Amino acid sequence: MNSEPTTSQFSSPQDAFEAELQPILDKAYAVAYRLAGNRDDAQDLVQDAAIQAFRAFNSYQSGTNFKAWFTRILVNRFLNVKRAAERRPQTVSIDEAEDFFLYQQAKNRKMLSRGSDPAAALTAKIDRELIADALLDLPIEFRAVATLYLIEDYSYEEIARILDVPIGTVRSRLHRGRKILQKSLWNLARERGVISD
Amino acid sequence: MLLGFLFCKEALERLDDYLDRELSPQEQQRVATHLKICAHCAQMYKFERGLIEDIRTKVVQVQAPPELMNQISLSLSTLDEA
Repeated sequence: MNSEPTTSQFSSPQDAFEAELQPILDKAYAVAYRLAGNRDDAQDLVQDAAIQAFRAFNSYQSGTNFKAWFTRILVNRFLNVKRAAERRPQTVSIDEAEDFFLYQQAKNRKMLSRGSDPAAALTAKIDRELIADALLDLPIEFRAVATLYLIEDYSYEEIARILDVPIGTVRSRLHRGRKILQKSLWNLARERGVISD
Repeated sequence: MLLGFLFCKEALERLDDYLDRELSPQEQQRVATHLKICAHCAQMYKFERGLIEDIRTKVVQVQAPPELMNQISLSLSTLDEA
């Protein structure tokens, strides 16, 4: 039996739209929060995306992937607003860490845990706030890819579709983003005294 | 040359894609085989996996404010009237 809501089940398009939005709102907000970096901007972003999505709701095919459709609108709205706010395109610093940066740091400081999760001793020191701040260190295009990857666990292909970029771009941004993120996590952890020199 | 055998450098170059299940089944198998016989690469793999899983768990721990859905409803109603 198909339990997907259809527009005809509802008394108005707004009711149909809200029935689709409600179950994914927490995830959409989580994506917006990680992109924008604070609650007020995240709330505005979700609300603006909802208005934009509702205006285009007749182009959405009921029963297809509403979450991906809405996320695409939300993330692209964020990117468009940010790009417009910048005087010139953001260039990505090539000051990236080497591969497996955190592993090497943990190994050098004898912080590798025994057992099935060698990262446990390090991750126990890294809290949500530190991760959020490290994500904000990523250039916006990289942050968008990393956010979709981390929160939604989308495949590279799904992320490519959402952002309308080639799959190779997603792979490259994730690979470089991982390195930048690891270095930021380490630097922030040291700055805040979570990890001693 | 051993067919399908990966050296550490080759295995580590594929590690991100292996973690993300983005390799072809054959390539996935080649990396898996390497990780079974190389304790050093296996430890790096487990470290990266543990790190990503931990970050994933922490970044999703956000809930939309309770009033957000009502605010959206209100905005959409205003659109209807406009």
